[in-house]
Amino acid sequence: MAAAKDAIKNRERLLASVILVSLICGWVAGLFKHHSDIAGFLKQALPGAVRFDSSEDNIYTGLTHAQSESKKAGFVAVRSAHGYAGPVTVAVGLDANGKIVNAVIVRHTELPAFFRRVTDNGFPGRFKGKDCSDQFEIGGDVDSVTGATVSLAALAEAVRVACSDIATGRLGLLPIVKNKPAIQFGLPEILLILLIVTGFAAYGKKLPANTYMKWVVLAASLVFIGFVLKRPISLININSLLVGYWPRWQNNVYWYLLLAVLLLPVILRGKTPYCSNICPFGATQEILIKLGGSRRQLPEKCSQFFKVLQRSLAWIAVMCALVFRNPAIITYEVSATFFTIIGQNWQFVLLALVLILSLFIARPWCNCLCPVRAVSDYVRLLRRGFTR
Amino acid sequence: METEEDRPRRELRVTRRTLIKAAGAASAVLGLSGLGLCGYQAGKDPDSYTGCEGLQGAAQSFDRKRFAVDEPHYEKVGPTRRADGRTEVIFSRVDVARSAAQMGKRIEDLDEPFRGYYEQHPEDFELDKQNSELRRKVAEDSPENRNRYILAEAWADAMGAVSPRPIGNEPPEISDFPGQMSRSPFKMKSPAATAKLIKKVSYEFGTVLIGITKLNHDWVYKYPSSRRGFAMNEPIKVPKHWEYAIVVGTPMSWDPMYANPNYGTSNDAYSKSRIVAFRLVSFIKRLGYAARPHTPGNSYDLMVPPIMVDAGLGEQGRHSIVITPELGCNFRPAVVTTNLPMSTDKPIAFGVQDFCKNCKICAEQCPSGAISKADKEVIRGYKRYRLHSSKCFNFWNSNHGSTGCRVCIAACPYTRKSNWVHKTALQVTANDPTGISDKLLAGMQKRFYPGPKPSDFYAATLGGKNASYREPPWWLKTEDFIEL
Amino acid sequence: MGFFESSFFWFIEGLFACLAIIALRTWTQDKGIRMPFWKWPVVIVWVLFLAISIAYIGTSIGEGEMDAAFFGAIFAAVIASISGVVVWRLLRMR
Repeated sequence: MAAAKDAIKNRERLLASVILVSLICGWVAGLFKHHSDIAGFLKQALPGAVRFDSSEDNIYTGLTHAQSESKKAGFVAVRSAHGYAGPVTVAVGLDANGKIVNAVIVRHTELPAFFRRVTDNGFPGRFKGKDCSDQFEIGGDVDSVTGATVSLAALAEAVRVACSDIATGRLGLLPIVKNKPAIQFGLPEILLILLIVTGFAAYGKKLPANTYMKWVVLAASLVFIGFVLKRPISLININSLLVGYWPRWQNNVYWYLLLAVLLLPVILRGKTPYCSNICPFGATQEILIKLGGSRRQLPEKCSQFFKVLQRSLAWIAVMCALVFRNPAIITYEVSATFFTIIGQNWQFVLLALVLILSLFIARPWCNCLCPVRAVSDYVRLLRRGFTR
Repeated sequence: METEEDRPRRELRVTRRTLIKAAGAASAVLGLSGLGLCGYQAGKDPDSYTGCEGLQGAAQSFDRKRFAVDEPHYEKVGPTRRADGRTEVIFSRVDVARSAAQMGKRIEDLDEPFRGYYEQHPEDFELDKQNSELRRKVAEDSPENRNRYILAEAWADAMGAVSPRPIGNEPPEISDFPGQMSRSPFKMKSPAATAKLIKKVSYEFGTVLIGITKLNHDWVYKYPSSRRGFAMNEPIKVPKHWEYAIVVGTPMSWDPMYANPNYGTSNDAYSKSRIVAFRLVSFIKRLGYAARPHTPGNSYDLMVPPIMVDAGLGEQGRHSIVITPELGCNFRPAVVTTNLPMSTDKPIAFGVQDFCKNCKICAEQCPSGAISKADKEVIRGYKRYRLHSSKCFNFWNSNHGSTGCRVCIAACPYTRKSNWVHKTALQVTANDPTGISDKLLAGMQKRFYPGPKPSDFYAATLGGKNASYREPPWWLKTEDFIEL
Repeated sequence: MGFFESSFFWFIEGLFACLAIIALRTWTQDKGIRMPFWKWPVVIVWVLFLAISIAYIGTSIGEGEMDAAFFGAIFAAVIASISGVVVWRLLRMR
């Protein structure tokens, strides 16, 4: 018996190591991905300039003639800010009076269906003519875009940073004070902490009080994390972490809290209350199976197949994210589609399938396809393999 | 023998049988009288007027009385000002900017009133100057792209081929009156009967919707946009006989309209509405009263949308076009001003103001960004949404097909054909006081009826894809009929 | 006027509806499902929802609005399945 257990443990260790090595290889391979030339973007940002002088602080001076004695047409700064799935990078051209001549997106890794909302609403072209001393506040001097607030906020922040860098570094203006508080901590963060605390409390022994509490937390999370904030954990968040796109914590307390409640308990104790007690899409499936009145699990063979599929797909998605340095390069999660009603057509079909199946089988998404579950499984495997 | 137990059961059976018999008799009576009503309807059905189905006024089907209000939705705030037809109408000012661009003139080189206008709106000067350049760039597009619109352009031209003679350059005190065919005005029996008569004959002349109002002088241009008997640089003194305004109009053909900005045309409805207005003018003059047409293609002396609102035809939307309950904004109006005494219609409120506040689909779909996403502003003393006409007109010169764009008309959720789905949606928004349905239906519109990216509407040489809002109808697809 | 907008079509629809209701009654009796009065409107509302959804998909295809038909079908399938399961459990309630 002991020998068999050892054999299993050895095999697990081997598997964990192989995956770990593959991930490291993928990460290293991603280092060699070089970004496209930005010269073209500079020209678009400041069409009046013929030539650009670069300097150490990454602000380019646009000159009107090819000769050295030519006049300054303006300045271009290339800056980025953290969006939903990595940095959004823009090139912003300012004229000598500090007015935005043009702003162009150099690159981004946001989800196409969501970012289309931003570009469909005329961004970043709508920043044209704005003054470098503006606040670039969504809902203030920048119109908001429903369904893509995070992406637009990143875009506006990148434009603001570019403007303020040129204003202070080249135009000799005083730094622009942003009205925002230093640390973003408001109602969403407080509610999230409340949910996490109660979710933890209800986790563990199957007491009647715990079951009751679990349902309250699930319902609250469905409404709040799901339909109001529309920001459950996605593989994209984990990919961002792995790829190294760590947003400023001061503006992203919510983001870090959510990831911490998923990953820390798995690392420390080998299990997490997120999936069973907090995840809003899990809550959706729990409610549906209650409505359906069934307690069926998938047959053993089927569930074996889907476990392999679930983990392989997740591995492929993470590997691609690492190699291409794009957290959202492969996405097949339907929870975002469910809460935002935005997505590709096939995602709607998959979502409908999952919802209908949820009436008859316990948590089909969690057990068959959810990549976040696969990640937490893998962390558990690592932990088992390397602790005694 | 009856037992004690049987009695109640039998009673029960009897009552049930009686019930069934009564129900049967009632349904027979109802069914038969229903047939009578059905027969009456069949005899009266507008569809039985073969070839003239559209002239029976049946399309004006919305119950306006139920949604009538005393005050129109635009709010009067502070002192009002009449629009300047020479500068505030894009078509009047744009040629000045165009020639300024050719001759390298600056704003300070222009004559009044254009100098004053452009000094106040320097952005408009820059935009208006670009039009020739944009047109030139569109013409550089590949023959393959340009030739796709041969049939659409031929159709648009054909639709505009028939037009009444312009009203000439006599002052309105002469040109509006019957003249040689004159007799003293007939005494009409009652304003209500006259209104009924004018509406009926207008339907027979081909109008689809009609409304009558007293003319508010704030809607008459301060300075004319074209001569028509006025001196260009003298303020219009509103003639006393412009007492009433009759608004008539027709929709554009639905399938090409959805295939805007390149396959549709305004000419079809313009032409029809123009003919209705000129027929109406002739009719009123024969009764001995004064009448003057203000029609698309033959110029106006006044702004039409607020008059439509006053006449109860609809409410003005975010895109500045009046939304009618029957046709949405697929409606091209013409106005007849007259002194024929008629009873007037009341403005209506059927939920458009609340809907437009939230929906913004037209602003999101507009390729030029001319439609404001902001709240209402005070313009010439009235609260309304701002429309940036210079931006709008720039796009008219940035695509193929017939002149204009009309994407906002096609994209507006109210501009839908008359089937049970859209009729139901209209009734829901019109009757729901909570505003929940506005949000829900606008959300469903965006999800269920998406349009192309606004930048795709531009010609390929201007970075677009020559997109149209919907596929063109089969009969406008040039490539299926002409060897290219 | 085509057949599907004619009065005759609605007459036949009425016949079909009557037959369906009679069949439902017989079927529930055979299955031993009790049908108190409140179950009838529940079933009828569910069937009406299904009917309107199918009509909506048809109308959208007829209008040439394929996106509307697609999303209508997806939304209707999910809502009809979930409410269908609930209705079915209500039917089997004693």
